[in-house]
Amino acid sequence: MSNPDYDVVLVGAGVCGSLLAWKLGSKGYKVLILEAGKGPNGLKQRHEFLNHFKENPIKSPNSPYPLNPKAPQPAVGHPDPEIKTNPWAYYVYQQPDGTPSPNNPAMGPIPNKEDGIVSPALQPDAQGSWFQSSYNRLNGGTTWHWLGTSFRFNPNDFRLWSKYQPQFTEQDGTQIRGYDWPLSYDDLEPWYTLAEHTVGIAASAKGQDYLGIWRSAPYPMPEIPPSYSDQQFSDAMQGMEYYDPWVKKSYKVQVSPTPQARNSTPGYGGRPQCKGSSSCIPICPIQAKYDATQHLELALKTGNVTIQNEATVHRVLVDSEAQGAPATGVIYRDYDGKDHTVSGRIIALTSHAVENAKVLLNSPWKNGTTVANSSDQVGRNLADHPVSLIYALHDEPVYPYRGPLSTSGVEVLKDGEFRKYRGCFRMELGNDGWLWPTYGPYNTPTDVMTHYGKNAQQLIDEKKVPVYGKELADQVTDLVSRQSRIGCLTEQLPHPDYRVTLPSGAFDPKKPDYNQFDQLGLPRPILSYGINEYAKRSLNATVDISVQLYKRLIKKPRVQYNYIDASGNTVIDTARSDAPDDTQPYGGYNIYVREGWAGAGHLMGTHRMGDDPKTSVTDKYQRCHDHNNLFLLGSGLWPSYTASNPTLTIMALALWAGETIDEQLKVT
Amino acid sequence: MQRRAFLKIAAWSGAAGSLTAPALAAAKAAAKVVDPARLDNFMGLSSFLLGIPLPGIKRLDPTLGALFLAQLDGYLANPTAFANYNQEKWGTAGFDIPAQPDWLCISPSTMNKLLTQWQAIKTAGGDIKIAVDSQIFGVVDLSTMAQKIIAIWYTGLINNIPGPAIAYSKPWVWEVSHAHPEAVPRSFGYWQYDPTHEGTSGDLSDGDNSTSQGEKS
Repeated sequence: MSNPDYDVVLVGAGVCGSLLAWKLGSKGYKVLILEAGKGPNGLKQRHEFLNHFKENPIKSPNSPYPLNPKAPQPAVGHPDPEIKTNPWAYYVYQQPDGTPSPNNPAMGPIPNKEDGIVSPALQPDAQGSWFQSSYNRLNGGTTWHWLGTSFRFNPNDFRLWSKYQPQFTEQDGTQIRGYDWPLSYDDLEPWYTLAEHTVGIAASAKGQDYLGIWRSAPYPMPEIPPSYSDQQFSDAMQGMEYYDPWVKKSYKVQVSPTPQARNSTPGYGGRPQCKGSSSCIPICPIQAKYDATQHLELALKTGNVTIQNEATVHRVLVDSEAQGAPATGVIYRDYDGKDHTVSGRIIALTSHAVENAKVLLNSPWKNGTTVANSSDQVGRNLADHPVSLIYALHDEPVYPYRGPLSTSGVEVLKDGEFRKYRGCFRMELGNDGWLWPTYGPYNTPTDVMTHYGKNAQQLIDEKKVPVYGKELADQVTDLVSRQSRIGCLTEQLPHPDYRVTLPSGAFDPKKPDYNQFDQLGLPRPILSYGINEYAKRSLNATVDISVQLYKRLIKKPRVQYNYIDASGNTVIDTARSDAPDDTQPYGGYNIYVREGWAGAGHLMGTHRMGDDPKTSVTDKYQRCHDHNNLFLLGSGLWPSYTASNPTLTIMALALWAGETIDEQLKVT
Repeated sequence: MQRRAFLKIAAWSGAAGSLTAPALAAAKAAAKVVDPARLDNFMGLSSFLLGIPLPGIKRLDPTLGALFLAQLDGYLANPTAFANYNQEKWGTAGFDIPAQPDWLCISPSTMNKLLTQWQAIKTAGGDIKIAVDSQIFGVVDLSTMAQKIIAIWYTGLINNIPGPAIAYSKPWVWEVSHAHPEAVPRSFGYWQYDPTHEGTSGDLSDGDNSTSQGEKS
């Protein structure tokens, strides 16, 4: 390679790209960041996003961020067959067997007979196998809408196979199993510590002392106070044990404070103290929560880092077919449709798991293969943390919709012998009431007013009058203040057919097929996804323990199981629900289980790391086995997934990659 | 006060940059037809439907009432434009638009019909609640319209279509539930306390000095 344009070319200005650019720019390297989304940064942009959020009727993770057809980001509602009429659509869905996904996959129940020992609570519909998590394509990436939850993984998360040997034969005959990481907790610990101090995490060492997690330094900021409802959950859990039928063993459970990337101390990282705005997802209005624009700005201030926005990288260039041949550069397309080539000594794909895989799968190499893909693992093993939602009306007020969206959880079931049979999980205790499962409190006044969903004609026919006046105010006050939810994140096993692929054939500008290509004529990612047995069992366990916990809080519990049908209506699963108590509001129930699952926004596994080049894409240093100057960052690296939120580990690995790249640049 | 209300409406119409052009035109058109007497009538009906006065809420804010009336009128005048606006917003958020079949019974004249009926009930004297229950909630389109009025005061939404950003923090559901709208900063640590205890609910700190759509007594 002669006279490359840059020392390092980074593809994506999210958390990996920003941290890496800051670290390498600080060392004097000439760095270029190519970002598909628009710039610039700054306060004005945050205010614009905030206004967009306030005007948007749905407060989903992507709701503040304006549509950008030139860099589309995933919409996770119903996939629409008429993509051309939906410029915001991005993912193309298909079933793991390669057949197209149904247009309106329902999240309904399926009889669960696989074990007979766990309550058949959550059964994802086989047709509802579409991927439900999104990400952002703009400066700062998805840290704009992350919650800020910043767990370290447990030591056993890195040795899932050697510790527990989980393996299954799926219904379609596919063999799936757990994998070890090519690195250990001890290897990563210094980088966890560095990440916590670089980003600014608020937590106490005592509060995170479980499951063998050790630490070499204290957290930089004291922990965020627990919410009013956290304290009630914690009291209710005193002395509680969870009996796991898979291993016939009881586990003591407890509520733990959540480590968070938001300021308990004013000024750390230049950020203000958290003011409990209750909108960490999708946007913190005052940047008390860390987002990657902070390090992007620091990177640019080094004077060695340049960012090119509106530049969608779609190909990595490798000039030689020899094994180990270096990547020479990338091609990006601007918003006018023109291609540009940039060269670098080091190339690093620092985008989200789907985007990294998309670029690699679109980069031809040798003998019909694609760059970095001699293992045929690029795009495979797509995963998320499928989330169960259990929500309740407490007997007494818990005062939700205040403070950070979650400040505590149950973490001790993230490891145990049960991982041989089912996935581990964590329980996130929400401070956001019913916002996630039912869109409360926006729907609560209308629910009460309409006697729970009756239209005007139905009320007249039943000789009823809508609830209004002081009676309505009193009921809304009472009901909204008693709403809470638990969201449980579960562990999947890697499945080779849950994957990202690209459309076959080339884009024809004379006959553009926007069902397969985006507005720039670049391929849209095709996603195949599902929930395997390991995660289903975990989902069932989450319902068991959550209902048990709620029954310790509610004196006369009535449990309702419900699901959302293909038309978007909530349907009560009467076969599993208790008989309603007519003296109770909301249909006579006070504990609700949503059948199916939700996405956690944790995209993982599309270019996994490992020691064996035949079964993995990168080594433990995040360097491709096939190309020694091509690095892949982000949670696409995960060989197995645990149930912990991934971002702190993403950050730790990004900082480690910065060190590795620095050493490699010095040598070369 | 009435003039201030008109100015606020004009400001909203001009500042609603994210509304699509037809929706903006509809909103402007709606603003022109809001006259003081009609607004007073709307405020009277709203107050009755919401049960004003309530503890802590002496009366409703007429400025906000003018905004809501203009928004409802705008929707009635051009539901297609608002539907397009809604399509864009919901689509960005990643969801399909939910069906709202109950809205179909309402015609552009329904608001005037409702306000006329309300005026007639007041003029007739007698037990207003009995009259409202039969003469408004006993008629499908009037009942639907009246429920939309209640809903917009509580949530700021019509059929899940949001109001202008300047009215974002006003919906009453937050006030009555001792909470606050999303993305409105308060103070560090307030969330650990019972908000009904004096001095523990946190102070507003973003310059928005009114989370309530009512005027406190």
